[in-house]
Amino acid sequence: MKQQGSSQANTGGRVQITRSPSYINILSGRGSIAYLFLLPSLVFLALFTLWPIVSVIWTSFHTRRGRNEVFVGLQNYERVLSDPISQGVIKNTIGYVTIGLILSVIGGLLLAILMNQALRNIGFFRFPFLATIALPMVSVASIWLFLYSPRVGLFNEILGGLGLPRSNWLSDRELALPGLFAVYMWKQLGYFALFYLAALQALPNDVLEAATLDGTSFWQKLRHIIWPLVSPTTYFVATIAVLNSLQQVDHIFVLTEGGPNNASNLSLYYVYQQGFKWFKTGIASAMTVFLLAVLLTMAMLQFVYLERRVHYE
Amino acid sequence: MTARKSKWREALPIVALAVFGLVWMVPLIWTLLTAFVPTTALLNGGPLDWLQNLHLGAFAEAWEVAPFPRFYLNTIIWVFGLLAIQLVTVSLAGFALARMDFRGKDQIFFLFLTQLMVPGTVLILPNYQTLVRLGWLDSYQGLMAPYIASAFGTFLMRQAFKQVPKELEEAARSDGANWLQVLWHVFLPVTRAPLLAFSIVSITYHWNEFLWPLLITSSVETRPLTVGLALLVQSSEIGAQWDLLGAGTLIVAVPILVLIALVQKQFTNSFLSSGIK
Repeated sequence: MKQQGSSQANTGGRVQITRSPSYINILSGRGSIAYLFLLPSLVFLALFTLWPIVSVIWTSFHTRRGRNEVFVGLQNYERVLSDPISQGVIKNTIGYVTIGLILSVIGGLLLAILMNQALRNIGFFRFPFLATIALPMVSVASIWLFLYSPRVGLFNEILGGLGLPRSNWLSDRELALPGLFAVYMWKQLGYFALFYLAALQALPNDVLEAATLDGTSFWQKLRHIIWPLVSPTTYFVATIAVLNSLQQVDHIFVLTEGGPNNASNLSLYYVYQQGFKWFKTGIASAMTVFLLAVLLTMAMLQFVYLERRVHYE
Repeated sequence: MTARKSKWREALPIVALAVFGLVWMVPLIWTLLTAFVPTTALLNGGPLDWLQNLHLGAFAEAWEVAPFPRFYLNTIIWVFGLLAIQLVTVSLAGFALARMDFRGKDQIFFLFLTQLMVPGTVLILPNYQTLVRLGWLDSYQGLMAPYIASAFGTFLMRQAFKQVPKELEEAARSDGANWLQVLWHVFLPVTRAPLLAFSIVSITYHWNEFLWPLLITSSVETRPLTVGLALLVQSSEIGAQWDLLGAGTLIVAVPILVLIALVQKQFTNSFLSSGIK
């Protein structure tokens, strides 16, 4: 906290400050009041963002024996890396995130190009893709239950109508995870398209028009003009896509519960299972730390990218 | 190139968008059918039977089977209660970061940044343990606690406050207003748009939230809609009451669909601002 005398000296003699009683000085001094304003946020930031990071790292090196937490070194990490189930979970997650990343970028851009048409009622045509973004994942998942269900599901109705054999969709080892992924994409594709839509609308019109007049084909235009111009957005969408898909878990609860036989289990659901169903907090913490490491790496990549952009633009 | 061909080419993108949009709506339409048509008619009849058998019974039943009115109330209390608190915390913090000089500003800025890097969903386990220690399980404050500090909101407001001309602030200051008065009378009135954007994002996010409420609520008095719906799904899947389940799904989803249809433009803009990092 600054003293009255020094603050007066610093500001070059704002006399009115010295005349007010000292408690008003606290309220008007630039330094201390800032801490007061920040205090509520900082308290909860410390309790629910900073402390849990420290605490989860600590528990990842411990295991519970009776009432005590016993230090076990890297044992939890070794278990997560060597256990076939968690290996499967990590593999599932990597696949889910990678394919999610690719489809979010390509699908998002293509959808945005379709949505970016000069039309009076364009809002009407955009609605289906925006509506799904705002729906709760739990509702979305239960909506898709009506497509996947072996008995009343639309997919099996269609297959049956075509005289094809019906499928058990979510109980099928091969189909359960792609099934979850389709639900996620149906909900989120519009979200990624939104960012591309904003980027497209910010592009100078004459560039695109010139290309159209030249008789360039759509694919040439996409590859050589649009794609390079929207590359900052692509980087951003890619980041968001990874963050998003790593956090997807609600649809697993409603549709598969990770099954059959962990075929559709993803890392965050695994954390839930280990931590809250089987109370293996050490294992759950180790997996959480892996997730944190991925997130941190992504954040650093983003910093590097931003630095570069600042330098070159 | 003939005139007819070029006309077709011009229409192609909009036709593609319309067809794609229609396909995108199929899951919703099918859910509507399951809710309004009794399951036996849906499975055994054609579209004509469906139309003849339309009924609202499943909605009445869903409304009774699960305490949806109470779930609605819980969701509203926790989502809007949280928003009210957040509006205070993000305005104060954003204002301090935008308009005040103090020691450790960069470090504090970095602390907020951590929250943007590490989404709360990843920290469910340690945060649950913290709630146990605080004795906040199965309570509204427990639902809200991890979100009371919002880095996204703070940065959004910081950005907005930075753009307010210095003259406005100085005029109010020389009239003898303290910082709180300056914030309230000068800054907040001209930053309604970002406040609204933050509100829309916060409401949609928490209205839809599932995992955290599932973990920490355990009674009808605190459970939000999403958890209520998931429980209904799990219980009726066995009994295969599909129309009931469809109705429950719609009861949760329809208010949001209506909201989106009404404020589509504001909604899209708000979600774009959620990309500000």
